[in-house]
Amino acid sequence: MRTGIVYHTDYLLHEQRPKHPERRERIAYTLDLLDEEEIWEEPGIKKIEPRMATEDEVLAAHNEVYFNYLTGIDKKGADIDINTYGPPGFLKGALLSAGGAVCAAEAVFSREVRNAFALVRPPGHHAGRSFGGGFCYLNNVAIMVRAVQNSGYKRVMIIDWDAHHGNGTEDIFYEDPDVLYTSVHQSSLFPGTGPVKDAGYGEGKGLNINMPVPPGSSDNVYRYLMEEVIIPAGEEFRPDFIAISAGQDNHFTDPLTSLALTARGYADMMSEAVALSDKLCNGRLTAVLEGGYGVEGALPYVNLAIIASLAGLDLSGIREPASYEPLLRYEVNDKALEITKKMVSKLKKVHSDYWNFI
Amino acid sequence: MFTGIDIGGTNTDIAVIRNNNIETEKISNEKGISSAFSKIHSGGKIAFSTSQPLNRLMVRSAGEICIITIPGPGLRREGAVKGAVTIRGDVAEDIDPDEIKQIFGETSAEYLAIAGKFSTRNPVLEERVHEVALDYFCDDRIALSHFIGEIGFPSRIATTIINAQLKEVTLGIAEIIGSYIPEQDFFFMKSDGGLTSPDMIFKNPSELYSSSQAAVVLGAKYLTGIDDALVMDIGGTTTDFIPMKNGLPEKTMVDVGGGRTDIKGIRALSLPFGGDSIVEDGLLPFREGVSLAFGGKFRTFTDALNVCGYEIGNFRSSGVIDREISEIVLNSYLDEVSKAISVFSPNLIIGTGYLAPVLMPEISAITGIRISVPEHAESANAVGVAVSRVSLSMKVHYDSEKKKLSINGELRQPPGKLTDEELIEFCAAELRKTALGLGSPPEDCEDIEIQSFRAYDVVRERAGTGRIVDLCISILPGISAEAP
Ligand SMILES: [Zn+2]
Repeated sequence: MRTGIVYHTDYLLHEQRPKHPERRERIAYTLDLLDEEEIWEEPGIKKIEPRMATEDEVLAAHNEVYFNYLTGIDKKGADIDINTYGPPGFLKGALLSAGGAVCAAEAVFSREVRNAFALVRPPGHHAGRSFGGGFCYLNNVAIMVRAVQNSGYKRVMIIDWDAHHGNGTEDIFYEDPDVLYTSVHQSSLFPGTGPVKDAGYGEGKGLNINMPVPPGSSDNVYRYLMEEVIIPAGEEFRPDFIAISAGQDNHFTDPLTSLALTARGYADMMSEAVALSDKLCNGRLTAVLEGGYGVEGALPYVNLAIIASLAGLDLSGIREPASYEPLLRYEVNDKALEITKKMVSKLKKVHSDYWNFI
Repeated sequence: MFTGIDIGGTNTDIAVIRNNNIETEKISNEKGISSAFSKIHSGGKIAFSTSQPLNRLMVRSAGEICIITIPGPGLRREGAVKGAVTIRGDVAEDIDPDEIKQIFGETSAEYLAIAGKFSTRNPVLEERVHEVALDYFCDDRIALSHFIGEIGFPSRIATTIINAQLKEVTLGIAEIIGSYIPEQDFFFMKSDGGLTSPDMIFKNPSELYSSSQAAVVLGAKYLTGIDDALVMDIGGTTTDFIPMKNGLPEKTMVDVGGGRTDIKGIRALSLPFGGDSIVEDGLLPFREGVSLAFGGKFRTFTDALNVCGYEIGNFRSSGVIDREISEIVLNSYLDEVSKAISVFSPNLIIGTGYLAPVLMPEISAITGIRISVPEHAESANAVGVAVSRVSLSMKVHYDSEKKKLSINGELRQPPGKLTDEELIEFCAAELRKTALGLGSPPEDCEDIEIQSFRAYDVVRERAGTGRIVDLCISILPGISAEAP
């Protein structure tokens, strides 16, 4: 079975403002690298054409007032928050991005591919039921998850490893008894949400697991959280499908964050997620690109690392070039694991009523 | 005067076009290639086609070829060493000469392929490996990937492995030619039917791959004036079917040794039967030597045709073959041919090769398809080489922010900051200049086409905007305006 990659050249069209960090180059360079690696010729890879998400699909995750607001500002453009401008005509791109995520999941459920990576932009995880922001208009992952649920597969686990907390995704599923949202994010970074104590509400209690980590957190911190929290929670939750909000902005070269994950760290984390999906839900897993702003340095080969892990390719060449080593040494915080362990013990206290593995 | 020479597997064909007169000659390679070349008079334009280096290529075992790849971060590649060039063509990690020396010291391989990721945007790491390699390998057996130009690292690796093995043979052919033609003042035909300089072929000898078949198509076009048809070339060892569109062959990618390569082939179908194919109880798909009809000692398809009533060469010597077997052989050949033709469903077939005048009427009768067999059909390949024009391709990577310009993998100084239009204009002018420098008449340099174009903007927080452009621009192949 192959790995699907959703991509369309129209993903290069959307642009807030030319110097905005969420800009076209983010995907252009990745594509350049995928072409040079001839990834499309790999027998284990299949390209999937996206379509725009339908209004019904969008309204399964966002409310009507918000969608009408987006439709309203689409003609002339408007600022959605201090970092997020919706330029005229932005909605088409946002719908194609959300539709790309839906198509990725559809291809997985139709067994056309084993798993998939939606290489889409603009990103989505900061968009909630009734709000946008943080470069996001529509919540691609949430729209995809709702589409999966509406096709009959109710239980979904979301792993959000973007450096920023996915406040939008949390908002949409905060009371949902069938969606487990887990997020690893840099503490005190935009949007400022995502403390350990926010554990879900009502029927969704215990199904919102926030894991803020300190600046300088590197591969060992993520590995620890996968093994200590994410994998055991997944095993206990037993999802039908795993969705990954794959933000690539926790790489040590990313200009907007202070985390210190390496390409190999991403690859290993994705491999663990793939193994988990094999164990729990017939390998049904879809990753959706969120952030990642080290556009020409690391983002291309980090995206490649993710594809290689999804497709089960040899990962021995996934590494960092020598010239980055001093920066990596500088960025890594040796105390991060210790601080994270303290966070986890607090997390276990908050969640002890909801989980057997704790 | 235009001289075209096609070095085939069994014969070398020569065509000399002077004023409006075409003279052709076919010389058996058994007499030695030098005997054919001694007939060449220098002067005028001289061009060669040959697919021989590739046809003779025995894909060598892994132990005989040393592969050095410089993939940097990314997918695993065979022969990977330290070193990395980024997407932007910067060196993010240097090679480690000691690591490479150790590999070279331990290998018993005699051929070396060097291929780096993004080397087309900066060849410096390949060049550094090459420098170290010169102490261990003969330069005639070393190939570098950045000359191949085209994006696609795995394909470039595969093509470089082939080129490492072809380079020496190609240089050898050029050296023999050079002893008859001073100062390497001749051209090679490429797979697309266009001519180029020997220097460019040495950098990427795989360009010769389908040149003989391409030559036939150009010859068929020149001799008939027809643009669209199926060209059927009946040679000594094979019968080739090559569709012609707008007077040119159609391009396709080639797999060699099971791997994708960057080698440009042309769309064609080949049957392993020709005039020299051995006849025993039936027609056998190989050649051993010259037919009885041409003074040889082998019973061949040509002899069987003579027994069936044709009069090819010294046709009486063919009589030793049984009449019944001859007819079976002819019918089975025609059968195979009609099947092959049906793949292309042509409206018209142009027959070339020395058996074309004999066999084409039969083929028309069986298939009901119109045929054309022009004068000089037997040496259409050599005629095609003689009349072809210089065609060049430039694969360009331009990075306005880093002020980098690489053309066919070689770094150049860009003439200031260029808009897309200015870049295209600059590259077209460079193409024209190069072609004129090779002796092309100005009329042959007008047909310039952009084959691919991709661009995106680069943004820096404070500095201005830059632009990255990938461009492939070519002077298209075709028949020279100077050809009579
Ligand atoms: Zn982010």
